[in-house]
Amino acid sequence: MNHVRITQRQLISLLVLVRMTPQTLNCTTLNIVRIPTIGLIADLIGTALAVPLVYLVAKASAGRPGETFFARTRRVLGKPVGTIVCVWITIFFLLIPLMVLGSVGNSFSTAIMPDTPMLVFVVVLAFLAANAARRGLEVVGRLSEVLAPAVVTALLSIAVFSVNRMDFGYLRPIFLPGGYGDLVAPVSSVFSYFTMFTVIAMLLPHLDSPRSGIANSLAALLICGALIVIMCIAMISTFGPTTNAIVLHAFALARTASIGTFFERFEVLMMVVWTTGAATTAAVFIWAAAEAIGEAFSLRTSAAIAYPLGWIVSLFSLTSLNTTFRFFDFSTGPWVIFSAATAVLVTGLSLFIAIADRRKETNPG
Amino acid sequence: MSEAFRMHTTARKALLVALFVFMAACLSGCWDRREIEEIGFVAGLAIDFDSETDDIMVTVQIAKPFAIGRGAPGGGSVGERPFWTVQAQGKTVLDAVAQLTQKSPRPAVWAHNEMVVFGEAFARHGIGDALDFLTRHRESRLRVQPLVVRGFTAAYAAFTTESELNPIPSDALQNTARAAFSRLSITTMTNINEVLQILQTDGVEMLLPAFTLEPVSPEAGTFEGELKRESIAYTARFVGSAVFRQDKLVGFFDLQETRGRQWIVGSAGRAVVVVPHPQAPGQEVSLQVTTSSRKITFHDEGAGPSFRVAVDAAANLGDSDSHIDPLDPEIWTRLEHQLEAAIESEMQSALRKAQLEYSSDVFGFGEYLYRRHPEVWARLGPNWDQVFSTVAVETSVNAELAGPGLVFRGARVER
Repeated sequence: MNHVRITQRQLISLLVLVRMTPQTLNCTTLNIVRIPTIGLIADLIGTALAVPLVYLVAKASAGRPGETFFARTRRVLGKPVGTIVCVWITIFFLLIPLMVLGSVGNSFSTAIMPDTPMLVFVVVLAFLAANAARRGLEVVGRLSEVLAPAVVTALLSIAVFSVNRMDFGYLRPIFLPGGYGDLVAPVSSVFSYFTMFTVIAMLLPHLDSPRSGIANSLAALLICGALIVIMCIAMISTFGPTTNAIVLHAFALARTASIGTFFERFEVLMMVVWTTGAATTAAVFIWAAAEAIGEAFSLRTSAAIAYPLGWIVSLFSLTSLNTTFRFFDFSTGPWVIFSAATAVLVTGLSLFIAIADRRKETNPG
Repeated sequence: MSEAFRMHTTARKALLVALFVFMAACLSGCWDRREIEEIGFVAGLAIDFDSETDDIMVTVQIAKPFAIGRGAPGGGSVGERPFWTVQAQGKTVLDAVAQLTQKSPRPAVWAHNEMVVFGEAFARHGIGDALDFLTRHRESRLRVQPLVVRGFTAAYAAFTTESELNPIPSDALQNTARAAFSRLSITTMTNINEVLQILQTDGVEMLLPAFTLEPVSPEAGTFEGELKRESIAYTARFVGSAVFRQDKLVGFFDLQETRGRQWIVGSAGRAVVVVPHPQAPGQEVSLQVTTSSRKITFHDEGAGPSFRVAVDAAANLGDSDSHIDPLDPEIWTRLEHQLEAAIESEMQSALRKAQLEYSSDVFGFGEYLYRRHPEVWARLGPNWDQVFSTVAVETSVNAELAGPGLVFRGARVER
């Protein structure tokens, strides 16, 4: 492992950017709810469910600075099994830039530039992301440190300046017309995006103070949870019962935002958020995937894999997630199942590693 | 430097150059390039239904930026209208809009459109198709304000109206609607987003602003004013609101009924209410309502479900036909009672018409139940149309006269 370091602030910024980017694109959770208020409940429960996942992964990753989660997995489970786990998680890491780039490409083509081929957005962003990943985590960290506050400010501005369009009465009543079964799909959807936090397994060994990784990861999780809930309240209050019919929720919200009657077109902010957020998210996960591949196959250097990974991701984005319907089907079906399985795997492994390490500490012989 | 390294560097440079060329091509954004002088800014949209062909007729008012503010003092245009009106027909709204390209040299851009006018015939037929177009279209904004033309006048006639103070009819219509809503509460103010929400919500129906066309002069068709115009035939006058059930127009509220509804839903802002003079028979006093609020409570005991609507209103003395002494507490109290009676009368007339004539819950009593008493809504909701027509609604008003304006007593003029 190389000795690149990121600061605590950079870690929080990275995680916030990574989690909030999909939220600003196709927020499919709000499309699969029977009534919009279920989306709000799902956001709260999904965030709460992510706490143990993040805690365990952070604990397992911060426990031994200098050794990544994958290295530890291979040490504890043995090389063959450890390598299979590494490959699984690498595929999971690559799915995220694939989805984000596909979603950004679709969003730009649908909402802003219908005549421009999706290829342009996907390839340019993939190149930017791969280039940043190739330069290393420090570059991505610095980038996100600058961008995350801007993205958070943009999202909060959109919510705040839509207030005069909101009817908070739409938040009532909070109930489940079909019983608790109504919660399964939306909670799974919210949680599936929080599984992106498993990337902390790769990030924490590079943190300047790894021991603070647990607190910082949980802080990032709570910031994301709060932002998601605020955005969800804003969307439900603005769109009421039509919330689950909208394709690009944050973009639609931005289109209703205005300052008085003289300042509008807040959707420009969304374009900035999409571009910067997608590039950073893709960069983080391409970097993480390259690192994971490097560990799995004991490569001397993994940075050079970033470009091929970028091309692979953009190729799959353009061929498999090139329409809104395809993206919707993927993000509400296979993605949720795969990410849930990954969350179970990573959580189980984290627990297993923690127990194994503790046993080793108590019985060094 | 070794040969291998030199080749490696050359290959890298070649790759970088190729990449920059590719990126430059990608980033130029020329696919979606639209020059401002090549597009037509839609300033207003009117939709009519042609009952003979079952077609939808779309009329679009396109702004002519080069004709706005050219030369005339006060911002008007001389000799040339600052807009162009163009029409097309089709089986659906989008089909009709697509046909516009056969006539317009510039593609229509919808991002600046803020108004859609429905003809009465089209509104009675159902406005769902138009709403679908306006919400799916990426350029159209959810803040577009829907209006209905009352009377069997085609909606496109709205674009023949003109205002001396505003050169573009759609702008004039929108500003007049806004003033009627905010200063007098005699019409409603809504947008496509809210209309969609109402259509998706059980227990509430929509109410859209309604206007009619009025001849400007006895010789409609020609008009010579301060500004030279090609012709001014009609002007628009807001006459209340259009009552819908689902997406179909079922009737109209007049000005008082509209304001009655606004008191009930708590949307009444400012209003001028004329009441009889407490001391001088046959004379009137105008009261300017400045603020109002309402509280709805639901009761479900004894004689069946009922609502109570309690309105609080504060007003100032606006003017009086004859001398009035507001420092006299008795006069003060009588004015307050008269204001209460006037507001209550408006509320009752709106309720009567909505319940007995239209069976349309434009007050959102059903939505109130859904939000506050979901268990009651589960019982009454499935038959809400019938329940609403018979549900008892008790109204009460508490009015307070806050002040006399800038003087206590006006000039004493004997009549």
